[in-house]
Amino acid sequence: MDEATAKFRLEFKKNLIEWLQLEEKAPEEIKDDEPLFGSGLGLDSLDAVEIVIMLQRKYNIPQRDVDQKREIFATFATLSDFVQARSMQ
Amino acid sequence: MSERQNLSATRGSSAGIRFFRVFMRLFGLKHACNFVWFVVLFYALFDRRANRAALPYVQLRFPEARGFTRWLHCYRLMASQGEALLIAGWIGAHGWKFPHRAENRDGMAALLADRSRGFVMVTSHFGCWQAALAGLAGFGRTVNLLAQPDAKAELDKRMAVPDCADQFKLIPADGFMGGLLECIEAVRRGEVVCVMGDRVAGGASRPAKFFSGAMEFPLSPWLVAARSGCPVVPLFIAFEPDCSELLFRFGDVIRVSGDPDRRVRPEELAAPMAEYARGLENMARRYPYQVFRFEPD
Repeated sequence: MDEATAKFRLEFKKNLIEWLQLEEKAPEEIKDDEPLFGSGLGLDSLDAVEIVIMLQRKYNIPQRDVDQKREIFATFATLSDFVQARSMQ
Repeated sequence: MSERQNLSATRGSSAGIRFFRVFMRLFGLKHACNFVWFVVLFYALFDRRANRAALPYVQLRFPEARGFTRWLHCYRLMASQGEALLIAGWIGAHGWKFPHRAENRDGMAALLADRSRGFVMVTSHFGCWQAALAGLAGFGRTVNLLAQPDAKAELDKRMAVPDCADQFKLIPADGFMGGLLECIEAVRRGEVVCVMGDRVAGGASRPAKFFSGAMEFPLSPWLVAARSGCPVVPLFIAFEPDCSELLFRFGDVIRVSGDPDRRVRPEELAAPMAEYARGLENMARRYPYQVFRFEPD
């Protein structure tokens, strides 16, 4: 992983923790390859909607751009990489 | 869908539905509604699972009932569900000609008049809820129904779909993010989104006061409203005990707030949800045998 990606992921973890109010979590506790939902971070469908809203508000990613992209919500890394790629466009 | 979630979908086999369709054609709805009491008696006597599923509500609504009296409440509840299915079947077969009246329609009518914005209509497994689509057809707005996918296959069986079915869209609740994103988009397009507010189907939920106890209610309708910045109108569709008329009871408009710059906390959704639960409780006082919130093992 290059330095820019590592930096972006750390920042994205902090934003995720803040938005979802996961106060008990520290950024380093979120593993990059950890599933976001179910057994991983334990998020549910309401949290998923909140993540989409966060992407709109903080990263200007419209809802329609993530609407049917189930695969980017697989793990923290897939989501972060998608957002990073969009941020660089 | 799991067996647990799908108990009410098991009501009414294909053969049974065909039988009652013929029965209604020959003898009319009223006699079919009378006859269903005999059929349901079999379930009330021998189907322990159905009785157990009815008990949580019956115990909340009639806490003093014991033994035979409690069984009688369960029986009346099950028979009433049979009547609701027959009324829905009748509407499905004859179109939207069923006698009906509306209560407290002003708040909802004001929302309908503003075509620039959509709203969420929270319905319930109450009374002849299957008539919701027929009743909403007159809105002249696209109505989206968030429902479990088996509802798609069973739509003809479950819902009294009127002729203008093209006004309706089904949003599968097992879709991406439980269909919630699609709901939010639909509201933002100025459409009406119809969501069941009383039955938890695996999503996030919170307890709300219901009679002397509490029941779990889903949070999803309230999150859709908070995130699309729209109001909510509860709708309860009761039928008179002699199956002669439907009552469309619209609840007062409920406002749901949500700060766009931070997560909407479940506690924030609990207050409007409790308001809806109070509305359901009020209807359950008026029509005690029309709350079809069966809770299987």
